Amino acid sequence: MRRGVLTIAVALTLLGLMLAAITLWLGFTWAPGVNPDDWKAPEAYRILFWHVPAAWASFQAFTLLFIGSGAWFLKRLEWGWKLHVVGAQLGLVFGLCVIISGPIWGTAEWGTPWDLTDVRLNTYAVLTSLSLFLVMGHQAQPDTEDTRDTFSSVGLFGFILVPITIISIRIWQNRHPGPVIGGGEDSGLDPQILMVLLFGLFSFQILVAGQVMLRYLIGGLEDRLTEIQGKLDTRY
Amino acid sequence: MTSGTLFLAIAYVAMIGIIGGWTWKLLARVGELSDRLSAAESTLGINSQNAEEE
Repeated sequence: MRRGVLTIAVALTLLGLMLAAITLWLGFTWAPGVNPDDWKAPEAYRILFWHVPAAWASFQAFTLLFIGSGAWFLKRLEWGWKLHVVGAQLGLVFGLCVIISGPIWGTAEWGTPWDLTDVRLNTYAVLTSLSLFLVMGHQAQPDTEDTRDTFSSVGLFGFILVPITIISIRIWQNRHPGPVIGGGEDSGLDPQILMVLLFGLFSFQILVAGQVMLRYLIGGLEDRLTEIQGKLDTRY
Repeated sequence: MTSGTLFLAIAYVAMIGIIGGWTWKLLARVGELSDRLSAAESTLGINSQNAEEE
């Protein structure tokens, strides 16, 4: 059973990485360039082929964090705590991808890496900081019910930033571009660019699924090892 | 044009590093834990196939 799940998790992760690499290749070779008159750094737009999928992957991770936090906080379910840990770690990984690639793109296109008056940038930065706080907290604090409650409550209330971040570019759009999917008539992308972007979104879904399974499996293996070591300590 | 390409390259190197490094860490941890678990189970005389079904 364990080996079967492990094989699926590794296969999904590697498949996700391979598809993400294909996205990159398509984005660099197949997707057309944008009008150089409309963009200050037209080549830099290709950052979006991983930047946007990474952002969506992080939102999925924060959703897992929210579900896990609720399951632990309200029902004391062990799988809930494991999901909370997985969500926080994956939220940090994909959040870092976004928070690093975004300012690099901003520097090229806007001439500045950050705009403190842009709601989208700021709420997303707080969201990523929240996952960093949780990951560091998990490592630094003893694993007790009290600390789990504290971190779970942060995971529960922090989730409010996800819908705020998503809708911020529709309500308070400032410097960050508007939504590229479902954002109205003027926000549409070139069909080829959109196709590569959608392929990228699909690739990152596979990658996230594989990584969630892998990280969840690690939690199970750690528990099993602790249990066996306990038996060994009793015997010897 | 050149600086746009340079920024593009830096952004992707950073993202590949983060995702690749994290995936590598996960796979290495799974391998390490599996080895340690197998060794501990064999010391206790537990058949890992039976143990998984417990």
